[in-house]
Amino acid sequence: MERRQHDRYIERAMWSIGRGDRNFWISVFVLSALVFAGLYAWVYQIQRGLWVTGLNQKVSWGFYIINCVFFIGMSYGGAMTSAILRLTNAKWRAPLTRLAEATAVAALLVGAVYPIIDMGRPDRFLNILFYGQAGSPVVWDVVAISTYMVASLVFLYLPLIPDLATTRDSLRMSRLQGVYRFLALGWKGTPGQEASLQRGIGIMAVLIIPLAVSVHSVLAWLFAVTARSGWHSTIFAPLFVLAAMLSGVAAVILVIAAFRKVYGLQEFITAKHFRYLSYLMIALGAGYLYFMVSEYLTEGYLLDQATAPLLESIFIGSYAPAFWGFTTLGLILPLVLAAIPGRYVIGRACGASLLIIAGMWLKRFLIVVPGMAEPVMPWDWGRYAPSWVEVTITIGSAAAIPLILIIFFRFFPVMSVHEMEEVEGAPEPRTAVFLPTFVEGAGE
Amino acid sequence: MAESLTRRKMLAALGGAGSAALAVGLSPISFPEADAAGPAKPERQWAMVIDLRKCDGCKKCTEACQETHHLPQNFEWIKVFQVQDKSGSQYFMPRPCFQCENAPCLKVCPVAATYREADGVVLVDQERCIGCRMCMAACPYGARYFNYADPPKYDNPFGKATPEFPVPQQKGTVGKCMFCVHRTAEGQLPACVEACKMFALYIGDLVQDVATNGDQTVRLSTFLKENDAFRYKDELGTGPRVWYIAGHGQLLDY
Amino acid sequence: MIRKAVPFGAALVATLAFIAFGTGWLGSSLRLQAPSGSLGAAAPAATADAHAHGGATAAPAPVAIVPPADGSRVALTTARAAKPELGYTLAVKVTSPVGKPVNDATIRFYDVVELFGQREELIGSATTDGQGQTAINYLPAFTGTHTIVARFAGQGPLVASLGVTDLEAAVAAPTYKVDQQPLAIFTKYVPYAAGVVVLVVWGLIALSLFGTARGVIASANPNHRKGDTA
Repeated sequence: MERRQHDRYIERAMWSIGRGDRNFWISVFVLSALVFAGLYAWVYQIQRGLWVTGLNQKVSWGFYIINCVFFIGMSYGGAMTSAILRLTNAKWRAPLTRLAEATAVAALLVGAVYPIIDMGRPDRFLNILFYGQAGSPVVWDVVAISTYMVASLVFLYLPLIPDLATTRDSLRMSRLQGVYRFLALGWKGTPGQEASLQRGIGIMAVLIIPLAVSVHSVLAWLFAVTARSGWHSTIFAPLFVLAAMLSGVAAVILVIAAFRKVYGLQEFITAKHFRYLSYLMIALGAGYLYFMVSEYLTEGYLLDQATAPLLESIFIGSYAPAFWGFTTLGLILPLVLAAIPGRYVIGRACGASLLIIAGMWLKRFLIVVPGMAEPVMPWDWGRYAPSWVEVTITIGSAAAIPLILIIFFRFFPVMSVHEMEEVEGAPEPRTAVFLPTFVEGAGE
Repeated sequence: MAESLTRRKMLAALGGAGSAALAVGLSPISFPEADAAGPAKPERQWAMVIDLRKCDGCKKCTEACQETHHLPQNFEWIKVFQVQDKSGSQYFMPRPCFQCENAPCLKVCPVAATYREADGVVLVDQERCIGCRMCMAACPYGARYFNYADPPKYDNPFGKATPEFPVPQQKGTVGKCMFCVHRTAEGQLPACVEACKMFALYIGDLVQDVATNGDQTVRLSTFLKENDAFRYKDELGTGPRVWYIAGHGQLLDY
Repeated sequence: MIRKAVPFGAALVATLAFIAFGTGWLGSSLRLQAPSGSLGAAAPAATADAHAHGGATAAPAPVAIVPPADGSRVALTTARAAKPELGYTLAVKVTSPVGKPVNDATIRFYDVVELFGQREELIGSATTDGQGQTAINYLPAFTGTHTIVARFAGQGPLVASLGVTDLEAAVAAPTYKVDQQPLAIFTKYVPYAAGVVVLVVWGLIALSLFGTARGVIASANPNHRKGDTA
């Protein structure tokens, strides 16, 4: 990379730090208003109890569980694009990793709140620590999600250290100078520091993938360990993991497209990036389609007494519009949209991602609600319609993700400077960049 | 030497990391209550027999239950289903909590708010329940009810609601049939058994092998065997403590 | 400061993990001592009481042991059955007031049990033969004293009558046992294995974060070799 371009990269990466233009404040205001509306609804619900939701004795899980799975799924983009691209040493990742990792943390923070929102007695949340039962999937969830969240934060923080040093050195914001100095840990870029950092990032990049897989597997087991038809499926864990990866990549595409436009990163995040991410999304989407066919085929072929009414309601009954809408508009159409060659790569990738994200939400709805509504005593179906409380909390939580991101990038570089330098500075492509350093570091 | 050492270290570290998800994947079930055999010689092991030949669907049991536990209308801890047969005939099927010996609700409870008494009855400690409703998802019989709203007001004469007498129910927690342990402990029949005018409900003790519907008293094992009793969704392996005797409400002369 | 934070952080992680997991397993065993309310605690006392007072609390069906009105007799005797697994033979001989054996008389046998008061548990029925005799085998559910009642409902001019005897049971049917969970011997160790994995993961995260922090701080001066600062 030429010197001029290099400087411009740093300039764009740091552009947003400390800058609050009109658009920024309007966005913060609008998003905060939505988040506060959601918070108000939550407080309203805490004061009155869960009867203000549309949940009932038969359908006792609804929007909150759907959203929990949905938002935690979106956080997979970080683990996928960042960790996997790091491990495979894909050079084009440099401008993307920071955005992907921050998206992961933001979506995870939002998703992890949902189990608490869903609880009838959130004041007793700590009972899980005091009386936790190792055999309960809910406890697995708490352990897996908290582990994954800490790991995601570390995975966001470690590559940020050199950039914090750059920020520390290039910006003179008197009030925050101390914070940057503390967080940068005295980074100077010495070889010893580089080695330590590469080792730490290497461990996290390896660790974050099984952790991400474990979180959604555990979320899937929340359903799969029950005796409900449509839920008690051995394929559920990988199905959930694939769905999460798919929606995670779609979320990353949308986030980088938005920040590219607003933060002026067009020069560095190009159509190439969107094409590559689209390929990733197509592969995951095709995999998901395959898993889905496999699941419905095995269930639908035998068609036992408990499953038949469920599949009937999904394929031709009251959930059929949602199901076929998801399958055609939320899965097949976006994959085709992203796959066909031609112009408007970015626009098509964004459109496909939006459809995928909406589709994946719908699919989670189709897993949770009909599985609940189908009677276990086979004589009376449950009904579920969300109340305004659930809808408001959902909208508020969705708004929280961009809010967290724009506030985060007001203080931290939007693209990884260090990583760009590392990738561009390397004279030859190194294969498996992390492994040798990891080994060296461990050997010392 | 140095290289082999580091490689081993690396493999160990990688193995640890890589097996994280795998090992978590291998741990979907533990049965903490498997060891919970209870005291050496339990006094009772409560069970119930429901004679569908006698049930006429009057729902007196549900009413008595709701009155005893001060439950709102839609809380049917013992619920009477009207079942239409393929052959055109219909029958009524009361469903209490089955107090399963391998209770799915007990296994999935994150805080052990659901637990089993030595006499086999599965109780809910509403002081501990966090209201996650995992047990409701896990129960294959829909026997659990969540208190979305405040339960009807009731001054408990014992001062405080206990798992044995969870009245009034607590908002935000789950409740269910508990075989009226507050009544059986005092030598009274469960409210539903006492209320059943058709004597279709039997409460019994598996240890002394006896069951009574308040009118007749039978040897439990013989009664089950001779009447081809079955347990609902027995194939799930939940081990229900409630047996049904099939029938369509025909009159019986015994 | 950061260097101090390394062991502290590791200890914190280990403690949290122990709380999260350790209490879980402890909790499951502690839970055996179920929270017992005032009513639950009263249970054994109430049962004993009912026994002492002949089931006064509920007592919907006290045993009506009255002498036969017309002098017909149901002579009930007990003996060990030929095979131990059959328990005891309860034999009756039914005779009319004039001492003639009654044939084709349906005899119902009851065991007096304590279940919400004293109740007569039906244990079998049989029809007498030409000698007015019949018998059933009875293996009680538990050892100890049983009160056996044989009831004759009456036949033609003969009114109902009964015979009562005590049975000192030395053999009994096997006591009901709650099935052991299938695979319990295996599955009870699974949470421990998972706990080890979780601890390893937390350890690796801590290593990654604190190790990097330590390394970065220690190597801040390029003139110093690694380890010099320590």
